[in-house]
Amino acid sequence: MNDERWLEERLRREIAAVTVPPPERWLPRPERAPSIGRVLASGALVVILALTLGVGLRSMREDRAPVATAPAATGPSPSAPGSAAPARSYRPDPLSRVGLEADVRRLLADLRFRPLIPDPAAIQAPARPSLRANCGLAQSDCLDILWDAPATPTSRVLILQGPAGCCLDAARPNAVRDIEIRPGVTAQFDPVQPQFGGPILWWVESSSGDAVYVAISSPLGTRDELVRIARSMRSLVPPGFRDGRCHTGPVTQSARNGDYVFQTTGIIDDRNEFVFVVKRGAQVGDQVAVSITRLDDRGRILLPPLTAEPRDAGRPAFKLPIYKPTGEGCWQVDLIDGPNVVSYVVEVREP
Amino acid sequence: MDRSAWQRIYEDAYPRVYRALVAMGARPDEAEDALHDAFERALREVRIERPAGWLFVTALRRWRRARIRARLFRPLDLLRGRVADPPGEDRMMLLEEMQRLSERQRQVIVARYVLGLSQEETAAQLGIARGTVAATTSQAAATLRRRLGS
Repeated sequence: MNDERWLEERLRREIAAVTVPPPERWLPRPERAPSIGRVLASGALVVILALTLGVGLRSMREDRAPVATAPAATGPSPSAPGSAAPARSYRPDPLSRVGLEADVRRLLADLRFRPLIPDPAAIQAPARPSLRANCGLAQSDCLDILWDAPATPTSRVLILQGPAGCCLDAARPNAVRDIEIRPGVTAQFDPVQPQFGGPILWWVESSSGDAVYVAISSPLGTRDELVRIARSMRSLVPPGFRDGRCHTGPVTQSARNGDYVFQTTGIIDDRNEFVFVVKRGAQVGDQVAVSITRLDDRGRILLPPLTAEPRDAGRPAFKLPIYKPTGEGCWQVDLIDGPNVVSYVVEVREP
Repeated sequence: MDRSAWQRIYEDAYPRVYRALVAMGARPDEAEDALHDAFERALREVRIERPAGWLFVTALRRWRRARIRARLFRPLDLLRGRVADPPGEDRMMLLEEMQRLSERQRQVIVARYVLGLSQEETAAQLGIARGTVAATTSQAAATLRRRLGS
């Protein structure tokens, strides 16, 4: 038997063993005569659609009116190739950053890297973070941050982050290379067509210590938009440790303005093991979660939920054990209270 | 094209082109996605000569581009998942070994022996000379037989 005949027979035998999806998954559905119920339902649908369209057009007119007179400072509106929809005014929700940061902080315990988060001024929409389990070679979770671009509601933007090496990092030949995101950090832009998910901008970020793989993509995203989002991204870890020194003290506004008072000098040692936190308006029995992150090295500790107990003059306070679970170093304490994350940096010293 | 003609094309081409994509190295879900895209594209065409060949080339293009995207976004372990081997000794060694051939060699032998296209049809679909089809088939067959020791 010659080689070609051998190949034909053997390939046909092996390929016949490949299971094809059942026909109901790919055959066109048979046409059916519309039933009276379906006719009535479709009639009702037309009425509902007409009403919705009327209301939608009216609200769109109302929405567009202020745009004509508003200053251009409402933020850049991402252009959408092929989209003729008028850009609507959008006011970034001041809570969205807090929300995103708080949501990402809740996921930190499952991540082996310090993620970056985009600035709300660059994304202009509430974003939803979630974990992607068992991400690639690193065998740890990755982080997805997903939101709908406000000017083009059909266009989703996704940021995937994972430990460097999690995903394949090879640039395609037609990729635009070495786009500067910030000094020392360059990205690759891959112009994938919208039907395949749209362009991707990716890079490996190592400015915050851990090397993190970051990829941003959107079906209708342009290179400029993705670069703008990339440039707005910052490591979630706040600058409590700069220039090789630990900068103790409150990090978030809520830890400064009296909403949450951390009763500490910022230095923790064996004679001063606990930090008491008084929350404005707290009741005995309120609960918070606490995460402690090492800033000058790797390490993160999640404490079990803490309950407010009466302290000075009966005022409820949370008693945070810091010294025992941690070791010497610079630590950020994140008190997670519902949607709020209150952060304070302390330095732990051994005797 | 009327509905019954479409139904015939589906029934004839779907299993063949699906298997051809798997033989090219696509995962089952990737093959399905690429093939659905190709059929959707076919609906916009006025007339298609040799639907199986046309669908194969179109789906192949879709799959290749989707795969490039997946390489950037998809964790590596997912990329490794391919057709599961059937139990027993009858492993798909030839399909595995084919992945070591060049893409052009794979395209030619899949078009010839999985889709059942003639040399002329294969040449027309892939945009190459008939002599190239013959030579490529011969080379690929000899390579595979030598490597598998049959």
